[in-house]
Amino acid sequence: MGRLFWKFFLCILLAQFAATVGIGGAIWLKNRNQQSSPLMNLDMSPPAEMAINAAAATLEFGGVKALQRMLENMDRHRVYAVDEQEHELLGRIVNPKTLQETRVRLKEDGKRRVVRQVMGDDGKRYMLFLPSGDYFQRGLDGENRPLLANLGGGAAADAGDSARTGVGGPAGAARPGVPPGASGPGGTMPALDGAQAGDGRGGQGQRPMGGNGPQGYGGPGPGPGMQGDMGGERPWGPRFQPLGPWVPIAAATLASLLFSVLLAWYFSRPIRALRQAFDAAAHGDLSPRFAKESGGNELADLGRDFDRMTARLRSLIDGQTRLLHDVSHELRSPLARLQAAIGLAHQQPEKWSASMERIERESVRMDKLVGELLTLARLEAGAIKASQEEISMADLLDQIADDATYEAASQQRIVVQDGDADVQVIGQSDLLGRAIENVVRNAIKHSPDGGEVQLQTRVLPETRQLSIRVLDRGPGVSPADLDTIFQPFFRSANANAEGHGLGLAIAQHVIEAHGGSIKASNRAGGGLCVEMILPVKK
Amino acid sequence: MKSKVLLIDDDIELVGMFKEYLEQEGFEVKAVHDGEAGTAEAFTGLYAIAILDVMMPRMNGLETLRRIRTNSQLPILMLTGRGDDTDRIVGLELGADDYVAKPCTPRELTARIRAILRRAQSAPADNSQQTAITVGQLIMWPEQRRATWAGNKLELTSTEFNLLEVLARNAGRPVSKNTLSEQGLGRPLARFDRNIDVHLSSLRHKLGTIADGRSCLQTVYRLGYQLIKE
Repeated sequence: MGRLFWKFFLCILLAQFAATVGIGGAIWLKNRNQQSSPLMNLDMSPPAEMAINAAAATLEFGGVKALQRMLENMDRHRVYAVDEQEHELLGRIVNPKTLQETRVRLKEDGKRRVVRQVMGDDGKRYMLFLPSGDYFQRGLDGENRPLLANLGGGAAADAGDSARTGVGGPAGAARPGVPPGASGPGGTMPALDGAQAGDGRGGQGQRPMGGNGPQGYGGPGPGPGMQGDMGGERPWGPRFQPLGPWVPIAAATLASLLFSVLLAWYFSRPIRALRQAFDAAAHGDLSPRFAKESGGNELADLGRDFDRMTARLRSLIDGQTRLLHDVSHELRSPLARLQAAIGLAHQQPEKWSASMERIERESVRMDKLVGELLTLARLEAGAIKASQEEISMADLLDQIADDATYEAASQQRIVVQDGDADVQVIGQSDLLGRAIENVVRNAIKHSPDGGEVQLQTRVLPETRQLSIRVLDRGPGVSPADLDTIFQPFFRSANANAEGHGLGLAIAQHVIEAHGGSIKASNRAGGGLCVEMILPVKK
Repeated sequence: MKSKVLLIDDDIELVGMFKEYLEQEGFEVKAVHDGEAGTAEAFTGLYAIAILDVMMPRMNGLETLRRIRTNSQLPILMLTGRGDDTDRIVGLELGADDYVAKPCTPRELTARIRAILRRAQSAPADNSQQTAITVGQLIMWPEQRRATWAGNKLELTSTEFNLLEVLARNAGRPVSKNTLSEQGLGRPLARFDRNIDVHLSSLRHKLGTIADGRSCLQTVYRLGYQLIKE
């Protein structure tokens, strides 16, 4: 785990912390707003309004009994009907805050009639309204509890009546306390129980409900028998066991730490892999490492670039190694001859002059080889760009042809020049001359006795190029080797001991450095044709 | 009688000088410049030793060596490039008797040729014991340059035979690599010389195993090699 990992880790942790604080703060502010708003205790939704309208109509035209019957049979939106003595029609407990708000609403007489006051047939005024999510509000609101407990007394008195009429007082009372999921069966069962047990069992019947209430709120329900039981305040549902604030906080912190570690690890992993790759490269291991990594991100690209770099380095190093190997091998032959000549001189001192001649010849040969190698090395290093001049190709080619004719004559071969080359090429005349000379010399060397080497030049005006073709009637090159002959130290199988196989390699490098190309092909009727194409000055 | 030496090398000039030198040293020399001609000459059986360059165009030295070895136990001295360890080891495994790194003085070459010839020719002569040497399943007749393992004839090169003979005479005792080099190859052990190890490794392949399944030729750490005497 490097420092980068820890930086990532801390950043992610900080970000999480900031997000948590931000979100927590926002929720807290919203909560506070809600709590401070006094008009939030009533359900003001359209269905509630409809239910209230229905209840008002029932009360107005059917009377109190009709409303009672209707409310008993309602499952949802069971409208509250409270008279002036703050007694609910079904004996349900009403939050005083809600009542207060109800009165405020009634006076406001807004567009939406969520609270209505209707005169019942028993001469009492009933306020009809629907509290919203009251159990939740009250549950959190600690200060409500004592008030509710007080209210419980009044409600309990009423409960006796309810129980006798078969309407489970407990059912009504427990109802606000029941969590929504449990409301169905839980609400009906104690009601039946209460109906059968009558007065005495009214309190007993609803006990399970009271215990079930989330914060023990249902406890102060009706029925005096209840009080003793509730004194114990048994926490029933384990789901609602208060865990205290620390357990969730610890769990959240742990999860956040774990998440941060994972994320930091995920981000720092490719960087670690890259570092290992660089390490390996520093130790000379240039094998590709990211070939199988797929992915479109920048780090994957970096890995691929790294692979490309090592591949290029590898091929360069391989090339250098091969060249070094070839060079050492090429130097070995003249060295072996030198040593043999020296050995002979020791063995036969009377023949020293012949031996000396040999030694001299070998040293000249080695010097030439080293010179050619240096040229090649300089060309490969791109030293050609240094000096540029205009070269008159006609003059250069005449000079080469003259030299070649003289050289060929000593080997009973002739050189024929034809075509014109009255153009200029930008480059280095000595190198370009050497390149063409190498090709011509190679042709002379491989020509049979009395053979003819042709030096043909042609200007291609449409492409602004100069074509120089060197043709011989030698044995040619096998088709597979037509490209290989330009590699250093290549020697065809029938070559004699002269030369090191560097001439054509140098020619290729020079021509390419001048922006041209060189290629070899076998002639129809035997022999080799080497064509050089050079761009001409515009 | 002059020993006939077969020189196989593509460097005509070099071969010319070696020829001149060796003739002055009292050898009869025939020079050929490619592997095919060399193989043909080797099969004539006229030569006491062949000197073979590993780096040759077309049929290279190792291929030539392999072909000669299919039909002849002619002692062969390889000329290898200095540092070409693989060529060297492959050559020895293919049955070359010794090697000389290529830029070599003619004197060194002559000394090596003499060492090989001395081993190959004088072995029967300076053998006082005319009887066979028997070690377990191995029976050697040095005067006939013949050896068998469990009754089967062993095809050994002369260097392998010499080394095995040294080990057999000292059977049950470890023989140092230096002793093996001096008595088997006729020259002191050079630093980093893998010659003995390669020869013994190929000997191990040719010889059988002893009763418990191990090879009869054991390497004794820091001491050398030992032929197990059962």
